[in-house]
Amino acid sequence: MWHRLKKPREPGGSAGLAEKYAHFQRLLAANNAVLGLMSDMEEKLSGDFLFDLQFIRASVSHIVQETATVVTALNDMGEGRYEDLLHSFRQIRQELEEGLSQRREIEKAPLTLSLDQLNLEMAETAGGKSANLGEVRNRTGLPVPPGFAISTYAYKVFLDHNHLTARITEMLGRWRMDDLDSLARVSEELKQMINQAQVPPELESAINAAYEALCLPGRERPLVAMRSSAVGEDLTLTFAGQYATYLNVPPGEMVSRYKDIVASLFTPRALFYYKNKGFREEEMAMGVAVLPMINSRASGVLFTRQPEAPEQDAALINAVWGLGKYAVGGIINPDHYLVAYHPPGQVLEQHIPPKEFMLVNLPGGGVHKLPVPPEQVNAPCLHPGHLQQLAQWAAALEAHYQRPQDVEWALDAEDRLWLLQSRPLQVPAKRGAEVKARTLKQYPVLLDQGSIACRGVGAGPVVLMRQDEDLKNFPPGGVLVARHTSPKYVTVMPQAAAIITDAGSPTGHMALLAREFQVPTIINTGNATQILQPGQEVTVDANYNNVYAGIITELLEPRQARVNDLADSPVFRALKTVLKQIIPLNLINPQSANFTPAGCRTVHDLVRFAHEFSMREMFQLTESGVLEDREVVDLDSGLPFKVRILDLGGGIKKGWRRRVRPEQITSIPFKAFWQGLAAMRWPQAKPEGAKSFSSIFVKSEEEVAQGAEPYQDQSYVVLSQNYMNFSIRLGYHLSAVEAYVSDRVNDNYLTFTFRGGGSTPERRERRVRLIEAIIDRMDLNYQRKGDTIEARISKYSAAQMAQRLILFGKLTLYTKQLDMVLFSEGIADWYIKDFLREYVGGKA
Amino acid sequence: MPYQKTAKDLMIRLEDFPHIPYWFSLREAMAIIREAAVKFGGSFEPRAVLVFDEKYQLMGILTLRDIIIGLEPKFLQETDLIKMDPSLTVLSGDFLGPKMKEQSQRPVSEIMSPIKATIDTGDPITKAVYLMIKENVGLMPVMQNGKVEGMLRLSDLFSEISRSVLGD
Repeated sequence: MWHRLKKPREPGGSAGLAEKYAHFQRLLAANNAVLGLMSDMEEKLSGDFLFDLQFIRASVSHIVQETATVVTALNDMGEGRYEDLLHSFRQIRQELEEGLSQRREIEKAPLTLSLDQLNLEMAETAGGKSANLGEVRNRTGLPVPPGFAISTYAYKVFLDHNHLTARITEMLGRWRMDDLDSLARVSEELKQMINQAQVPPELESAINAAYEALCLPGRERPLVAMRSSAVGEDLTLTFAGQYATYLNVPPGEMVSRYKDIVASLFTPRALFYYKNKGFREEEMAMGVAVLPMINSRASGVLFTRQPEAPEQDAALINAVWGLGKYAVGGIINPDHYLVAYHPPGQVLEQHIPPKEFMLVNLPGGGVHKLPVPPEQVNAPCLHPGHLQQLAQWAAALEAHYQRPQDVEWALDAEDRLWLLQSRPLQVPAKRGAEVKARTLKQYPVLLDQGSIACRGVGAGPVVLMRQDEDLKNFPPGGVLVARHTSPKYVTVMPQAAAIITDAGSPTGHMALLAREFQVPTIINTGNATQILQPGQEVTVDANYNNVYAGIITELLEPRQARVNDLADSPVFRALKTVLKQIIPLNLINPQSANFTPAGCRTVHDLVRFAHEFSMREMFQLTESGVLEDREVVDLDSGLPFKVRILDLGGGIKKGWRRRVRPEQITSIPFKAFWQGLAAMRWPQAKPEGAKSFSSIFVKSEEEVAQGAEPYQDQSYVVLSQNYMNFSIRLGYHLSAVEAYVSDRVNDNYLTFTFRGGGSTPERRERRVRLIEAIIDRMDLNYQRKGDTIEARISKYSAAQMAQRLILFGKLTLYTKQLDMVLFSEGIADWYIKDFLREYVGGKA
Repeated sequence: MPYQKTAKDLMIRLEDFPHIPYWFSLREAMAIIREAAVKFGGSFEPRAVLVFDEKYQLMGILTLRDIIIGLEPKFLQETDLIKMDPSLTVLSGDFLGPKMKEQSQRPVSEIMSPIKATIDTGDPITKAVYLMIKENVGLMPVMQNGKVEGMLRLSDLFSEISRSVLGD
């Protein structure tokens, strides 16, 4: 580019200008890159995107690199006059990197802990499940079997003993979330590593000693249930069904089962879930809860509240014969009871399907699937007395935790109820007034029964799940249809439009996960896999239990701003933390006293400062106001728009002085652009005599966002006869137009960059949408990231380039002036239409 | 219990009112009024736009009446020679024609009504009623600490008065 600019330059220009301009170009390019990266990261906060810590690290490292270019380029321009800025940059970079590299060490603790010692505050030490069991046992008095926890410190001891920590971190960094094949490979290697590792002798004896303490003298030595109790598990995020549980384990097998549970940290679905929620590798620490095995006659799940009707004081209970695994695994349809808190246990709803199979303990260890004795198949698993007791538990747990709970319970041979697990239940935000059931008669209904697991509407082609392989090829936007529910489907939940299954229960693992990922889900439809054909387009209305043929747009209302469940997850917290050091702009007004390198607190401040001072460097006037470089002048246009011009040669008519009038400018692109800009309606002289009243907006929207007076900011343009690079700052609008226009069509190009700021998110969105719609009609290639738009066109004739420059001149002022009025989508549409009709013409 | 409502209790928040910069045209003001009516779904149909300067200071109010007067071709206006009479409107068959389109390009600052009266957030309703009748305005800024905080409309005052008269 530069060689082209140099040619038309007249001899006698100041030496070093070319070099300075090259630094300036470098700075502008890096500045744009930083702004683009910032928009990209901000966009991720919306919750509509999938990303992990690796993404954050990569973005931060990219942003740091580009910012370094900005800062050094400014120093090159200013011959080292901005050392202070380098200093601020180093400090901000260090803070950013520290924030990202913080490791959380697992604290030293006993290798095993009795449940009697545990409560929720010890979740880091015991893992979520054990901590919750201790909490319930010791603080609510509900019947939890005695038991013990293998601590997360034991996990650390185990890894350290086998020198595994660094290798795990390295391997976890090796896969990306969108590559399920590499995920499977990494998972396999990690599991093997764990299986080959040795449990250190001190851990083995600690486990055995804790077991001995459970055994009562003179009683049978119990077999045990070993359940995963990972850090973070069963706290705010459920990890439902992601990790291993072993039932009916003989004491001699505890140590090898322990390794199996640790290995389950690394199953593909657990890895995916972990990474998707953004935990750090070192935060993956596995504890284990060990409880004596209950010889269950029946077991099941208790939701202290219905996820889809949380306003009602009623508990949802599922029950199966034998062990509880079948109640949550989606294998058979369990009994279903809805019982009131007051009077406790009053049955509001009851559904007792045939239960053909049950899982039972084998005497020597392990479990076995058996047919249910014929007289029990159709019998309810629970009696009114049990329901009453479970309803009382529900009320007690809610009173204690102050939020709905998801409980596993078991009924033993002596007719005693035991609580085996309690964890938070995901309940969607309260809905407004309940709408009546709705079936749209005018569309073909394919399915109209089932249980809603997660409300919402989704549409797309049917994708039948026959085997795990099918998950790998799951297309974005597909509707997952399967016989059974399975937590394995979590890996495609972020991209699934909806989920439908033949069987399953709304209290199962997959239903919990669907709610976490907000995927509209209908389960227990009976025959979806037979009725729906692969590839067939369907609309799933999981608000009303209907599946329609075809895509029904009227049901697919624009997605309501939804509660972002991920907002609580570590990856979001990490993103928010780093963005705090990147996005906020403190240097607003170049006239203010803190507009200094030392005043820079964020990356945004750094580039704002560098951008402002690079302009000053490039367009410098000496303090006396006498021109040092002959090329720099101010534009005298009569408009409230401050423009400083640097002429590289041939851009301005001979004979100019300190100020030039627009008609004295000969630069071809500038003339066209200015023609458009000046044709618009500018703020005119105010009517005389009218009294103005300051408004509350002065403190809010305008002052805070803009700092300076809206038309007082300085804009800069570099010109030659065929070239223009115009940086326009109007309040918080920053746009840049660069163009080369000549008779050589192949050399011609035009780029336009817009970045907004200030104002409310809705208004910013409207502003960008307006620019997008208009640019789209001007036949430009453009891309948008957040509220940054970049457009480009090249190799058009001079006349066509000029026509577009005129339009960009108009558009630039148009958008600036619309800030006050873009109060609704409708008005944005009107302004888009009006601009196209007035200025672009054609098929408006 | 004595009546204690103040201007603040009845005012509409400033951000709920559509606004426009003073140099924008009448036709833009009309588009804004139409869209604002749609936005509020009829429950609050603005009959005016607030006119601000570039520093977000309130300069005036543009009512439907102001807009129509602004669009009215000049020959409908009285001069010393012609006394206006409703029957003369037959002469203005052109009223909805190109002349009006041309007029619609006038800046709102030429047409708007200045602010004639203001009231403070803590002032009693009776004072607001008095000022509106005295100044013959239907809309008035409500001030707090010297800044416009919201707008008070005659129609809201009327509702309040009628509630009291009808004894609801």
